[in-house]
Amino acid sequence: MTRLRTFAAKLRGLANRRRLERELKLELASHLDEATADFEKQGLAPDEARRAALRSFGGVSQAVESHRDARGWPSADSLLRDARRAVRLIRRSPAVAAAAMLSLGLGMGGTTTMFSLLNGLMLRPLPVRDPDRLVLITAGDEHNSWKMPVWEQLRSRSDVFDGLFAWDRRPVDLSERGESQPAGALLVSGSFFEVLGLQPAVGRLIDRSDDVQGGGRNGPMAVISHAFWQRYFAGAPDVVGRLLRINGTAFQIAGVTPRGFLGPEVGLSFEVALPLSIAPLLEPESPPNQALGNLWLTFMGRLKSGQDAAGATAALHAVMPAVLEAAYDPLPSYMRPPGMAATLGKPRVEPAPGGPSLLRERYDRPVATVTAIALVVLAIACVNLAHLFLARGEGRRRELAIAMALGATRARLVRQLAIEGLVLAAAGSLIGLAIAFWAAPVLIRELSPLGSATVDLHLDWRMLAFAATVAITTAFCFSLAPALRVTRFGLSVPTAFGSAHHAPRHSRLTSTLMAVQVGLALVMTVSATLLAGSFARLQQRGFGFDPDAVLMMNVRLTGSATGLDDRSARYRRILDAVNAMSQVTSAADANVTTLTPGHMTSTVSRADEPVPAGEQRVLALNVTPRWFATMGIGIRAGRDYTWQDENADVIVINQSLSRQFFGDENPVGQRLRAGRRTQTVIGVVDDAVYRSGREGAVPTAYLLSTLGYGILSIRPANGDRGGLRDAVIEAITGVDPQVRVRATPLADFARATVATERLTAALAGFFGALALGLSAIGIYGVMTYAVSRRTVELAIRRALGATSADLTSRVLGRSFAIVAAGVMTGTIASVWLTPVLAPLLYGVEPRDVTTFLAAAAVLSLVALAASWLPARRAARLSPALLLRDG
Amino acid sequence: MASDKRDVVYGTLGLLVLKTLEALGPLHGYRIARRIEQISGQQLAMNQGTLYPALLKLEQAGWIRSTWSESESGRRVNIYHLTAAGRRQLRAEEASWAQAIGIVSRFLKIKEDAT
Repeated sequence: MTRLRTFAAKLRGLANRRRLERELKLELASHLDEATADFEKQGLAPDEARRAALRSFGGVSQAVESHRDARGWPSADSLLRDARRAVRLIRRSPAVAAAAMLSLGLGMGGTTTMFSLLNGLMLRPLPVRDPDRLVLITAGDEHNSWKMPVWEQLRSRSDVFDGLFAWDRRPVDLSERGESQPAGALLVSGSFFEVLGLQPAVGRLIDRSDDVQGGGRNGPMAVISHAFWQRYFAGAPDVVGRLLRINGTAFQIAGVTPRGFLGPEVGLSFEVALPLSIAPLLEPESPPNQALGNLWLTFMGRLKSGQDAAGATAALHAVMPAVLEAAYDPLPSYMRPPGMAATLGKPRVEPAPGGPSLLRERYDRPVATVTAIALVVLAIACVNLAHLFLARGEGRRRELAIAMALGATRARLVRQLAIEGLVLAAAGSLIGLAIAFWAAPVLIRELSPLGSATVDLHLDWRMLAFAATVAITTAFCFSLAPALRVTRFGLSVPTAFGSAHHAPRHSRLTSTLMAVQVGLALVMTVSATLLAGSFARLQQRGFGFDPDAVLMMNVRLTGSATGLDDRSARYRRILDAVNAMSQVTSAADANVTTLTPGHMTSTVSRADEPVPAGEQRVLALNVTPRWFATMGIGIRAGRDYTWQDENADVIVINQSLSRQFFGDENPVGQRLRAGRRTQTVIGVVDDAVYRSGREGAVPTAYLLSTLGYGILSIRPANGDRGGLRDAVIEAITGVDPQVRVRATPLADFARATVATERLTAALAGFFGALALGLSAIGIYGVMTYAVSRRTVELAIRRALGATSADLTSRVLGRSFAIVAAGVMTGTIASVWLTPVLAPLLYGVEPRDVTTFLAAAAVLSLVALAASWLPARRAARLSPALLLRDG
Repeated sequence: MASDKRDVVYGTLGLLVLKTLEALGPLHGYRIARRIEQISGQQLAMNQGTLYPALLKLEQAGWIRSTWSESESGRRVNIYHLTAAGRRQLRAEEASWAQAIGIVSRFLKIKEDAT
């Protein structure tokens, strides 16, 4: 109670600072007057009485000061004063302040930007109700997704959780005819929005009544994302009820999802959300069961109150056998996943407040690494600031000594110096936030050259807390140590009144800081060089074909569901039409999009040996004849497929596969078991990369595609892809008007496969250069300052006969010793640290000797260059200086 | 000043102020200071200036309150009054002081007995 009252009184005190100050003055004045009058009554002369009154009162200013301290909090009140004073001091030397804030701002901009990514990718929960109770349900690495029959069974047992939902995502086409208009669709269970607890921005969201085959009472319904509503419908308020044609089927718009909701997976946004059960409407050319069977669902649930992930796991394991039995029993046995009970029957339940995210999995390490790198840069910037504060503090020693002699406590002075640091750091952190605001979206765009990633980066309390923490920590680091140092007078306060030259001319603290800075910069240079080298190697390595020489087109058949034979005949007609074009060298169809994830694998073994115990899976592609010519993949031995091979058991393999199974034997004519068939090798082709540059070429089997997939690769005759696009679309729609055609950017896919490496290398390079630059500035500043402190000494040496070469080497020698110490410690730190980078490196050892030597050389050169100018100034000192300054 | 004067025991100034205000009624700062010196028989040396932060703390705690008024000599002075809460606090502190003194003096007696 008393404490509360005191708190309130102090708050009032803080608010009425001026009035209380005035009243205190008045009160003390009347006290002294009364006392003086009393002493006069005792017979003292007026001035003596006054003196006696003052004596019995003690220090007036101390009384005022401690009254002030008691009035608010010891700090709160004077903090404001100190801050104002700090701003005044900073404004007095704007150039220095600007340089300080700029280097801090750059350092903080880097860390804040990276933290913004880290926050968006990893820390920020989904903007839904109570995200901490959301769990992801997976069954081992191979079974992250589930099939529709399991969902149909599990959803009726959703009482295991406080709600369950499932979704898949699909590229869809919004066009009416001709060239397609791609969009991302979220296929969601009827429980999706309800369990997430989302409220519509307009209209209503999809519910269980919509999630039935063919659509609910009002036919197929769609919900659109807020961004899509703004972009496509210009935010029209009457959007509800309008029709949207998706893959040719008309959907009625039921509502708009809330603005902040970008989808359940961080990094992947969506344009439309459709009920799961209408999946067949999106594939009108396939039978409904097949369309539903094509769904790969992600399951998430919401924990009941009081339930934890372990409890939910146990409950789920109890019902899974029955669920799987009911799901797979009616299906033919080959549809059963192998080892079903062990994998699907024992799913994992993990808290997933941020939802699952491929982007997160791919980038968590690069982002964390670059964040660490950015922190190092910030540390380097801090060292610069520490130098600055130290130098400034030394210059103010006299002032500080006087303040202490007049009764200021050391704590008070340290606080005042630290607040100056805090003011600078706060300014730096504002600059940092501004940089992050601008740079983070750019980085997200760079992370996904295909432009698919959307990450929520808006400013939240985590960002602000981070910025504040960084500001306070850095302010502490760069101002506290110097503040403690320059206020350490001990008993010798009076000596500090003497010449400033008495101060130690090159303190151990300064040398240590400089060495630390050099060391940090070395670690940065080494890391940046390693990462850049990896990227260069990946770039050089190539794919085994030229992505820029190939035009890729996606062709989707529309029209009613027809037999498979009809479908492949249509695809064949289209392919023949493209091949017949004069501007086309060759064209082929394949079952996968080159250079994207999601390829098929097949078991392969030699037919003349027993079936091996362990499965050996190789990459398997279904391609049409002329694939190799189109992609520019050389045929080493044997021949390409022809359409006459359609019913023959023949296979084409790449060199890696040939080496793996046949060694030096001639593979052509050998027999291989691939999948369920035994096939004769008719050709061996050069290795090519289909998934990612980092993975490189893997053993690959090419199977003859007879079905047609509509993923056409086209090699232009004259290398002009741009002009060919429209001609190809025209040729295709000429032979089959019921299609949607879309050009896919193979070159962008190629870039996307090394996007991580490129971005990491670019960022590391940028931060490395920044670190180097900041260190150079730091060293230059320190050496300049050191020379200025030693002016007298150096001038005396000069007068006593030292040559300018002597003086230069004196200064440079000093600097060189420190730099050498820094390079040593930096090298040791790098040897210890770089293995952390190993997963990001490609073709470079984390402890690559050449890199280490080169980095050490570069750093030493930069450091010496930075000390060269001050050293030259020292050499040019004239002894006459002594006459003026001495 | 005589060397046998004692400094005010740390933390007791508040108690002395409260007791003074109880005994003499509302007073201004200088009178409180003088009164403490007088009652102690001039044996307590006090920097009168230290009284003011102490007064502020008592006021913040709600044990005293102050009003501006005129002194006998016609100066504008801040008069301090004891509040009801202050009276309660004084009772409590008196009790705990009496207790503390009792305990300590018993210890001192033991020591005398032993020697």
